[in-house]
Amino acid sequence: MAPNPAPQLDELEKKVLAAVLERSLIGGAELTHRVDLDDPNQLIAVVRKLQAQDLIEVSGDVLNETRFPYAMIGIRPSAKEYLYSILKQQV
Amino acid sequence: MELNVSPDLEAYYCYAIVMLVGALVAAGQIRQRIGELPGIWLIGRTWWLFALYVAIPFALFWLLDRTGAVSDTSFFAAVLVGFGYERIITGGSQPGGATLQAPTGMSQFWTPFTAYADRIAAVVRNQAARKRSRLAEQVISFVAADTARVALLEGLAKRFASNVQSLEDRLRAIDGTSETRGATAAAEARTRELYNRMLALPDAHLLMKDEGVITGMFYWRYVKGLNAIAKIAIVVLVIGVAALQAFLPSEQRVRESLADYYVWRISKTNSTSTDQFRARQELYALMHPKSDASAQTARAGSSSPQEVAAAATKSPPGITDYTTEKLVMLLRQPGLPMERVDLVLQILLENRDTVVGNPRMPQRLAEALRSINVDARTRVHESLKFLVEYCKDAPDPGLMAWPSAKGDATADLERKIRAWRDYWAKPCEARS
Repeated sequence: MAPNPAPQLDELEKKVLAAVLERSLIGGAELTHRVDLDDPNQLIAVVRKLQAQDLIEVSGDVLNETRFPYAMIGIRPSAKEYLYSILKQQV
Repeated sequence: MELNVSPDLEAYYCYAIVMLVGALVAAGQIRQRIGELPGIWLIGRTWWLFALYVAIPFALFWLLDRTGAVSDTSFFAAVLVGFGYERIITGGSQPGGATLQAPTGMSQFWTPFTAYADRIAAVVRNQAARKRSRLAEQVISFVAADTARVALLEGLAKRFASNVQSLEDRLRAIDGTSETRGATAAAEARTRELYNRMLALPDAHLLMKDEGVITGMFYWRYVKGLNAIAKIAIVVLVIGVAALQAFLPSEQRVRESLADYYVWRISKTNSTSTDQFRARQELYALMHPKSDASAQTARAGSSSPQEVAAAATKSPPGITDYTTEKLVMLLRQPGLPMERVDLVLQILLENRDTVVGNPRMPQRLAEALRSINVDARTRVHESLKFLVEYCKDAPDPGLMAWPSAKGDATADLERKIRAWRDYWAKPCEARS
């Protein structure tokens, strides 16, 4: 079976993925701050896209803007090397 | 790292080293998998994952010792397994260039284990999200209940906001909804907006405490989880005290455990010669306890053999008897190598000073004639004959001449055992 092609990520998605990778587990509020955003709405869309691509895992409410800061965003620890390789490919 | 030149320590020290180093590595694994969010260690599953990570090097060290790959008294092996267990299991290169390999099939265990660790990490993440959400609701309702606190929070949020204008626009929009959603709900939404902005800052709650938005009591109880810590501490304390009450070992029990341990070390076929020597010394020390009643009486010197025998019979079975019994049982263990049979007999005969006036040792030793190994039986018989040399009365010449050759009928063997026991049941008067 051929390996899945690496997903194409835009700048913000890469920033989000790098921030989550760096911390292993990060809260929605901290993530918003780390990627220099004021409006969580912009981040919610990115987080949901990365979650749909199975690159990150999310616990808590990522649909509700007001509750997104309390969500926890993490990675599957065994996928850490794969995620680093994705970021590396897209530098 | 060359394992052969390692210092040889007691096995329990080596296992303690493996656990200690394993705990350090486990803490690193937890940080790597779950991150360093505050409150992670207040979640039970985090401790469960930690315990699993500590148990793996411990089990691997035991398994490697069982298979003869390392000795469980090797300090270097303990450190190597503690730090490099993952590489040993997965077959990667190891610290110090040593080449240790886990038994075949062990590497297949690692992949499901990491998958399980991932699942635990996901559970911890869910619990962390729930705790965070719960804390947010507690902070918001606490702050929203007092307009002064809301004002302080607003001042703080504006001070740290990267875009004050955007924040003010949001607050105005929320205020505009007060007619439709009601003043209370609007005030709460306003507080939530401010709190969510603050939450992005590192040490947001500490800032809120310092500015008086939340009280010190609130900060320690809910943010720092002092409530949860206090609950855990009380449960641990109660369980600890109950366990101590129930299982606090007596001095006798501690000595018996030590005897069990050193007899195990003697029986362990792959133990090092240093370990065997150490076990022999320790067993000798255990079989000559200062508080042993019979030993004290024997040392007194003025007592007759009859008095010594009476004291020994009346005294409760001490650690000498316990250790003797364990060693004799070991002699009967099937498959025990002859060099270990010799070693056990050497230990028992080294303690022959307990024979005069105290026939318990040879009485028990006679039981070892039930060993299924004819060579072991011969050696035991020779030892019994040797012990007779210390007593004035000789046993029946037939018993002394009896060869425990192959083919002894069971009934005949039992007769001989009974004859030996009868002989040693009488006080042994020292030969002049």
